[in-house]
Amino acid sequence: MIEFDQVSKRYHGGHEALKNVTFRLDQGEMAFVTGHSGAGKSTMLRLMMAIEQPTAGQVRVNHRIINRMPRRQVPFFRRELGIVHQNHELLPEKTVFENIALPLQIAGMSPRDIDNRVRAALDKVGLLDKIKYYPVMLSGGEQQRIGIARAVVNKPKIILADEPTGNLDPALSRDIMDLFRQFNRVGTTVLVVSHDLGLVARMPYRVLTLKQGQLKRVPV
Amino acid sequence: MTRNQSVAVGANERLAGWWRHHQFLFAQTPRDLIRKPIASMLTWLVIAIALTLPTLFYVGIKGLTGLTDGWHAGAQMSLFLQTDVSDERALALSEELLARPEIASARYIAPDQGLAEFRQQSGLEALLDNLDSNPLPGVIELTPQRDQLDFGEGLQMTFSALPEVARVQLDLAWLERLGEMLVFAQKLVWLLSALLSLAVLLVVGNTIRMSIEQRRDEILVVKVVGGTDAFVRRPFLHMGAWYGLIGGIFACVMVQICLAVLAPSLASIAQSYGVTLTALSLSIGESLFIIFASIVVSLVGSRLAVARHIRDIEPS
Repeated sequence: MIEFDQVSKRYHGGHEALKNVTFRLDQGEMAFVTGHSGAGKSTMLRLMMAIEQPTAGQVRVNHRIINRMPRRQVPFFRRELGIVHQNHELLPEKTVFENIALPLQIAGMSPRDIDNRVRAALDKVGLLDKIKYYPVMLSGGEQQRIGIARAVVNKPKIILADEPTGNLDPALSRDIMDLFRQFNRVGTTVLVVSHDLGLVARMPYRVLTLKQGQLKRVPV
Repeated sequence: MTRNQSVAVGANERLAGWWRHHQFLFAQTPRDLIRKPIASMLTWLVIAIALTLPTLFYVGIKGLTGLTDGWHAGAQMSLFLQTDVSDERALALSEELLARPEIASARYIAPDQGLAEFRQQSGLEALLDNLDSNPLPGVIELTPQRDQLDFGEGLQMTFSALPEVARVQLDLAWLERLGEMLVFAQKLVWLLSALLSLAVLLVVGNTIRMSIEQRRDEILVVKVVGGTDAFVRRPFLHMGAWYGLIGGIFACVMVQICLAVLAPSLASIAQSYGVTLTALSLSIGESLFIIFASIVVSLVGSRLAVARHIRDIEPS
């Protein structure tokens, strides 16, 4: 589902964010990416989201090659991903419903289908009663769950999460991780970027560790 | 699964999605505009004022053009006859002239009749009473056919050559001058319209640009969750269209108010010149044209703004 083949990324000015990274995440797999800040985690995510392109090697996500993907295909590619951000990126002037409905609206779904899907997604994250709220009225943990609901509402095959528990206390972090595990159990490929080594270590999943742009250890 | 299978949502489904988004925006955009009433109102007023100016000029010129047309149609040529021409000969001549295709009417005014009219109009009765004889010649007044507005100097020459005619008076030069000035004024209106349309375009473009900046975060989120450039552009194009629509309607209202304020004094000026002013108003067709033009110009302004700025906003 996600495949890095000898991928390097060098920025203008010579900084090499990723050096010869090779790994493969199969369909339905869940894994973590850890590393210090500046180790290349964000670059890796940006490559997977087709925000940037590798300078060398090949990135394949969902059977599509990111290298030189035509600009106009990028939006359609991104619709197949569910992306969870550290600071959840909810729009403050839109309600919970409108925030979660956004990917469906972009996909051109009918209002009735949107309504059903949004309710289902909210139900999954346990916040159906907050459907008419605005994000500021919710706690940090709730906002993150709304962010996850928006990521999964389009039933993506792959979920990419960037430090989803970065701002949460340990109990809430566990709740969020449990959510990802639920989605993984029904077949979604999940990749979580996190520097919370304690939390990662307690999970029975593969861990990819980045250090100065290189992959340290790839347990089979 | 190949790339094509996953991307190819049916064409119908895409069209439906496109239409649903427009429907959504049709309801949503007015709400967004009303939520910022002062900013929206300012934009509408600027558009309205920019459109009101050339429109008022246009209406004014339309009124004046109507006037000169009226004068041309009522233009007269006066043939002053030799003093020795008898009334019978003069009447016969006026019949002959009336037979010509260019002439719509011919009226002979005998010297006595002329004197009587002059006495009545001038109020110089005492002076006229002191005259031994009538100094006025006979006059034939000619009016041209409607389609023969240009009475023409050729005709003037022809009539001058008649033995009975002493002098031909055709006082249309000032009318021609007025006509030329009107042509100039019309060009001025076009120029003004073009400049002020450009102003509308820039104002709307700038407003949209600011609106794009304000919604930068939203645009980023939309792009991350797979919104195409067209999807991102659409709300701003709707916004531009609403600016144009409401601004255009405001302009029409402003024009009508200005005309209502100006009309009484214009009418009394016109009356003092013995003419009635008509057509000093904006017709429904003209109003619709202004609104339509306002929408088009605003749309172009928004399109230019979004083309310029939305591409630059990319997730990082």
